[in-house]
Amino acid sequence: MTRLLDVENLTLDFDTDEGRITAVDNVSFSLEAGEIMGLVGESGSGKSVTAKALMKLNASNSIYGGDSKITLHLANGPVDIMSLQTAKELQVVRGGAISMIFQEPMASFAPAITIGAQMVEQLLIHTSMSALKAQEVSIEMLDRVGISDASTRFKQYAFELSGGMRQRAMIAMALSTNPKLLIADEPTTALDVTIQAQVIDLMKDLVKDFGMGIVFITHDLGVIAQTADTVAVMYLGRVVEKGPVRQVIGNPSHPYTQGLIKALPRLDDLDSPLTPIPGDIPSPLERPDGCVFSTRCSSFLGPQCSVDVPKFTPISHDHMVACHIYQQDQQGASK
Amino acid sequence: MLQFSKFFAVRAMLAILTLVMVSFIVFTLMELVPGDCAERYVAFKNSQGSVITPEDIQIERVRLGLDQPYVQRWGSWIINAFQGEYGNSCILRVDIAQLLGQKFWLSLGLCLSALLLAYLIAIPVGIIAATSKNAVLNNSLRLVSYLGLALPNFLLALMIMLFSTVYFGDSLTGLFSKEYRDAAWSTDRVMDFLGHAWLPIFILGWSATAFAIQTVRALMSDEIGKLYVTAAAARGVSGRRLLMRYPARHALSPIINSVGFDLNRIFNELPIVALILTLTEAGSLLIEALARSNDQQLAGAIIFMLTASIVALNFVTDIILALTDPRIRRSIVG
Amino acid sequence: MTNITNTASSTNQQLKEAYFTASQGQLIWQRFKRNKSALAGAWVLIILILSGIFSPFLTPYDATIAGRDKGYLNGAPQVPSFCDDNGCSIRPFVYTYERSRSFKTNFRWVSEEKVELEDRRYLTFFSRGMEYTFLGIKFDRHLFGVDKGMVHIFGTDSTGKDIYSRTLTAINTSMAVGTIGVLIAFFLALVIGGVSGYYGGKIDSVLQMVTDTVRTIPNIPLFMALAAFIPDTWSSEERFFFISLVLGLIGWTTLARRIRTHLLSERNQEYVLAAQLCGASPSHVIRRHLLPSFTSYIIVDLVISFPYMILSETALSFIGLGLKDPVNSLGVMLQNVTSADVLLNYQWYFIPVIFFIVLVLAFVFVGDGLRDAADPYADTNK
Repeated sequence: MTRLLDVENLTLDFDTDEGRITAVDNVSFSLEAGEIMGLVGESGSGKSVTAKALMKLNASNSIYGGDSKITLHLANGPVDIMSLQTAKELQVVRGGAISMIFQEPMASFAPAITIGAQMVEQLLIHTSMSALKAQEVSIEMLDRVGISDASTRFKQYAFELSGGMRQRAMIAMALSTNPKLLIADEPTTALDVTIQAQVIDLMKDLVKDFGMGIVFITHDLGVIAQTADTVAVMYLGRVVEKGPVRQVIGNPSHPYTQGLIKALPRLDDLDSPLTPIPGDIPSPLERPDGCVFSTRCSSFLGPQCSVDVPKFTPISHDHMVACHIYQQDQQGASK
Repeated sequence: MLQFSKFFAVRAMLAILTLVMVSFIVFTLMELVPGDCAERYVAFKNSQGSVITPEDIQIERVRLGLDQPYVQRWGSWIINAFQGEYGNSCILRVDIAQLLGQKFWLSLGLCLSALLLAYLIAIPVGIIAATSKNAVLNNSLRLVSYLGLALPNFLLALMIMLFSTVYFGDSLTGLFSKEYRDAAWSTDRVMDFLGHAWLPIFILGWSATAFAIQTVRALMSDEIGKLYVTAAAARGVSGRRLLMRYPARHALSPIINSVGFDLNRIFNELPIVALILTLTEAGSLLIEALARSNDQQLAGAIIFMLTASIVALNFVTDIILALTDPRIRRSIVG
Repeated sequence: MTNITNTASSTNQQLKEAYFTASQGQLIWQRFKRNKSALAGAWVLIILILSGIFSPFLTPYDATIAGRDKGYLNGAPQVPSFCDDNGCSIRPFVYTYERSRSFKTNFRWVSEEKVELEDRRYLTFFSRGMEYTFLGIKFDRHLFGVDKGMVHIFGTDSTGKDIYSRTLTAINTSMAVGTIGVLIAFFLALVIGGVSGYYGGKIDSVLQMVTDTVRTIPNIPLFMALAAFIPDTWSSEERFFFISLVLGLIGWTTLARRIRTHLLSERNQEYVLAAQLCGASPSHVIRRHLLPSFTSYIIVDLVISFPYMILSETALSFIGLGLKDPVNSLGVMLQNVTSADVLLNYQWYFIPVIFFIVLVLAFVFVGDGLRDAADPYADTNK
């Protein structure tokens, strides 16, 4: 598998009226072509901001850290995304090499422009096709994602389609330019469970056919378990654990990941009590020093957790966790 | 298209119904004024020296048709009104339609020009304001819109009159210079008219522009924050195309909606501004009729025509909305 | 060490609790306070309103014909000074004016300051002057006056009435008219909008037609038509109430529409159903459940409609259809302002205009500030 994406030390602050907020703090991960990576976390964990940063799609008051580096490896060479400044420069990436689908399909289509017109527009920006060819390709794409009567749907507006169809249309639109990386921002959250399954199957098929990588953002561990190959767990802007899905979910090492899994209701034991993670996520204006989870951690070790930022220690060769418990163990083991 | 004509017809019916209700209100107001036409006419005769008796008043009443029941009189007033006929003014004993003559169209022209001017300025400025982060620009626009709200047109007109009379003499009033006042239309007359009309159009457009800028800006801000704009940016749409095709296009509908209200506001301010600037058109005539001569027939006719224009414009904007907004279009056509 | 951290975290805790248990009003007030221009507007408003209420005390003379200065018609403002070539004094003074008119001045009265600088007239404070009744008690003290003759810091009009006194009483009158008008409009909007929104269906359609019709007719011509009904025989108080009534009768449409829209969407919410299942009557549901959900919008609308009421009343009085002497308002004061004579020679007639612009601006700032404070999702991109 070839390396598709390298994210190194990504830091993103927002300059707001209430002060400078750190949304993403020193996040690093990488993605191979054909791999589905899950980005998991609660609201406020920074997962959406991280994903949008891949296309520099965040608001204009965002400030990237000096060390941040995002490299997209394309067929004709690597692209340093941080160096792209203007919208024109970013056009290579936006909608071209990287496509994004959003949580609310109804809200992501412009209400007064037909679906077909929006799809054709994207093709015309990124390829040198004629308008007629673009229309052909779009209708083909709509058909490919399982929308019946594609040529009629092409001329319709978003409000005329059902929820599941809208989501498929959005996927069709995102894939029409043959992107190498697909960012899916909570694509299944707004859907019924049955439609969820259909959409996930569709995405897995398309990955096989197109050979692209997917960054799948969600707060739903169950979906990740079914869909992703690797997963990164985020809390308050930092990645606390990452690795292959089976390992992270089967052997959760970070107290936060453990808490998330314990908090899932158990269908096999209907009488067991629900165990949420105690405490509340701190406001981004009051990020704790040291380990960001220290204020709620049940395995709190002491002053070290409140002062030092834990570094990544390997549990197995590609399963990493950022927690002082393992850091100490490792140091103890190496002594 | 059949559905669309149905929509058209329904809207037209509603407009006419509204006008009928308006005419009811206006007619009732006219009727409530104490003393009717017959008495006035006879009083006039009396002031000219002839002796009158109560029988004369009654005869006059019958002649004018004032003894018919209310509904009948209202009915004939409406039917005539829809044809542009309003009968004679009681006080002036002149045919109202003739008296109004061109004046009403002049008023309408002034108001529509002010409206057009307001939106010509407000749309680009509002769009720029919504997208710019420049604090100076935003604050000065806020100030302008506050001034537009706080300094109503007639006060502005007064201040302008003050300055212009003190420094320039009495040159800015009226709609025409003396020589063109009653002349037939010619290019020279048009030029003269334009030379005088810019001031009332400017004053009338003043607060309309301030309001419109606020409206456009707020609507654009709302739209820009919506997800579909981010989604479009994520697809690589950029620059002016991103701005115009996405948020601007969608903010258009509510803006078209608000045009009808703006005309209402401008019509509101016309009479007083016209009075201050001594314009010879329908607005100042209205004030004359109400404040000085108590001529209810003339006043009623003018108010009715003003409202009819507003209803007509609202009807037109409704149709335009239906044509341009696919959501409405689809719900009609099915 | 732990003690300090404990107190720090407990104050933090207290602040948090205060924030979470604050009432809606308190939250709005907090946000409002941060908006400097709105706060400034609020102060200006309070000062102006108080000067209107206390105008009999703050002004040296009666604002009506009774208080006029026969010897100083159309006089320019007399600005008090502290120092001149003759030396300074703690008490401000004005000069004596001699008026003359002749062919040279086109027979207009012209003031000449008397050259004799010794002939000063000193301002007196808390002086005795004309009697007035305030809250039922008779007073005769005024904030300031002058030891000889009369002082006119804003000048006088063509009958000698002091413009300063008239300005302050005008503010009072306009505020009073505006208040009553707003209250009437509010009541009407509440009833009509409330019934329309709560019941929906046919009642709503009918009421909506009525609302739209009244809304379509241009307000000022309608005001004028209604105001033209007032017989000349009515007293000024009756006129006053009628004008306020008229303003209220026409001003209810926007608020009514807003109430109706809000109720239409809210009445299907679960909490309404819950209240109904408990046996609450419709009026109870409207009053105690639905309306409090948007009191903030109502308040903002009320504040913002104030300037419209005041300006409408000004417009009416300006044409002569509104208030008349002896009742005094800006419109009344502006009645004679359009003649060229005034524009060329007596510019001080316009001083009240500045006061009114400031008053309206203050209302607008406060209204805007309230709106931003009440709506937590207001855009930060100002």
